[in-house]
Amino acid sequence: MTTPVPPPASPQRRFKALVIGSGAGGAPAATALAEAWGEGVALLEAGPHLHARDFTQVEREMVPRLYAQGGVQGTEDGVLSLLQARTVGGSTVINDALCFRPPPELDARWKALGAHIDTAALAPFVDRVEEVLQVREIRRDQINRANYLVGLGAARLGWHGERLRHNSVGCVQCGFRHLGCAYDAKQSMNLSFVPRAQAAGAQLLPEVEVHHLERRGGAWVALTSQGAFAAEHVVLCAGVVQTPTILLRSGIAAGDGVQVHVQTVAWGDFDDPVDGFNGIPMAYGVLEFADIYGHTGPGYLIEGVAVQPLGFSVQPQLEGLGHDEVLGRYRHLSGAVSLVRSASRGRITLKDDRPAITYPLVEADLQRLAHFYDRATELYLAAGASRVLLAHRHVGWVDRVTPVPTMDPGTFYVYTAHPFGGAGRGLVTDEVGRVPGQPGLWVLDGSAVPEAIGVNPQVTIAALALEGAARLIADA
Amino acid sequence: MSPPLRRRDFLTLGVAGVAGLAGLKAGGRWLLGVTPPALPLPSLVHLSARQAATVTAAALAMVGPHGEAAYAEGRWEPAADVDALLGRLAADQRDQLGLALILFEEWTPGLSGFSSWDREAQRARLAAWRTSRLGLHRGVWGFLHAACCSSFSGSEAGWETMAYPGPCVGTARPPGQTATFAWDEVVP
Repeated sequence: MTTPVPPPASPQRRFKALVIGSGAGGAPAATALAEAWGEGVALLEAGPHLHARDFTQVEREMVPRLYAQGGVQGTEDGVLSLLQARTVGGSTVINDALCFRPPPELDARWKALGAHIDTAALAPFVDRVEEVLQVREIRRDQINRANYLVGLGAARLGWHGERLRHNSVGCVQCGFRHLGCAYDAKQSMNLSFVPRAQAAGAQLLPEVEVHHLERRGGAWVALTSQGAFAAEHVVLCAGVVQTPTILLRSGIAAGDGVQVHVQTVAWGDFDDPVDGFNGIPMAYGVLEFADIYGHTGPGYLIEGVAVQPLGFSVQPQLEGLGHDEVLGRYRHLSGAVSLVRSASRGRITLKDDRPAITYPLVEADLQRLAHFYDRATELYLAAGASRVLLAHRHVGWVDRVTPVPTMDPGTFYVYTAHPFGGAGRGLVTDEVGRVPGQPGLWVLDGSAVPEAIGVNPQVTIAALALEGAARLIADA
Repeated sequence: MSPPLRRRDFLTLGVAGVAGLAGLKAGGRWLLGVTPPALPLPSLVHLSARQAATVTAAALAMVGPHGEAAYAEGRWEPAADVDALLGRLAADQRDQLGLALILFEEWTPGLSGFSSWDREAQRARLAAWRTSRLGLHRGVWGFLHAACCSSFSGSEAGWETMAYPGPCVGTARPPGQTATFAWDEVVP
């Protein structure tokens, strides 16, 4: 996007509040503000407003259309791929619909970071989020074989595993959640909070990309791809990459303290077809190695995962094994993904006006990833797999726990769909999301979350956004 | 090896920027663009003819016999997919990647370019770069692998290789589970 030359904001473009970004933070924030201020609220979204009929379930069509930077967003060194969406509803449109309440351990951890959260006080907001998203436990009959095998391996090893909760109503189990739900079953923000915000009077303005903010005459002016918009209050919810980018372009310090869930994958190879591409892709979780909800493990979840062909094929070990041969086993593979609560810290900076992401993995994360490879191997062999495929270039099929020879970044496949921080509480904002010294400017999305929380984050982010919006309304 | 050391590898080689494409998305999960059907090479926007030849040769060497057949039948054009992918990168990243492809093609002085080698020699080069100690090598391999293999698996020819049935919407395939299994009560 080129730097816009701002015309003066017309009366039709003046609002009491602008919410920038319509994902897990922005949509609930806009709803709360619109319920208080009605038509005085505008919800700006850089991406398009897509509907069920637009979701073709074809990766090569939907990934460029739905994903930030067409799916190629990642760190400058190419080691970590960072998956986010760019559409009305944000990343909730492409997520796997898993829902966790905020772990109570956040209270102490955030305090140690100089931030604040009171998960008990947050509970009413979590309740409202779960009500609007219609969160429910995934039933046993909805667990597909790929996820069941994760549960079976964990159970045979005596590890704590459980069916997870999701925000899908009448799910037809097509397997394409990450490409947008074509059946309007997944209650992503575009189908849940955004319509509520609109019903309360908020104006939804898709395909409006904010470049930066300026303070003029006691109001904020957002300079966008569609001209200028002015408001008394601005709530930044553009995501962990774009929120710090907008702040930096606006001359406001941000971008430090990024943290992610580091994700890598292992595959169990079974004699009978698993057909993981059918059914709910992520439905079963293993909490044995987590350090939340009372667990005291090294700090990661294992979740069942199924991916469609394009996503599957980019894993780095395949070529070395004979790509054709591995693809031929696709129907027989069950996948497990790590959700490592990273100890590393990254940054968002500006490079030629674009966001540049750095995320050097520290030794503690590399050790946990290696730990995951070993435990995932153990899990799948216990479940009856004949062999296991690790997403590591130096390791092919293994039929016993085989420590990986190196954890040099770049030798294994790693990505994240859960970034946090960059405008974190205690760093860029105060304890509820205000940006100190910038009257009326708030941050209420994942970028305000000061650490990797350890679970799929949409419920936590949405609840914090509702809480922050309530404070904003009270302040105003 | 630590990430900073890896970056020094690039600097030592004078192509620090290649780190950006290193693996260009070596870990990248989603790499394909909406590809115009059956683009002839002259229609490529970002790849030169030479770079397209490099990409095509690498893709055929990596994917194997099913890929060779699909390419010969005109059902898979990896260079067009990679060209579309490049269009989604920032200009500086795209420039770095173009340089990396040239380096890969012409890496060995005195020898003809990679794309003119026989397939076995190409596979040997790819295998060596895949696990090389040099971050530059691993990065270029990572890009080629992710871009070329996702290109194939995103195509209908790739789906056939994987026995993947494709989408449900707009087709006769009903959504829902197909693999049957009995639930062992040991599983909560």
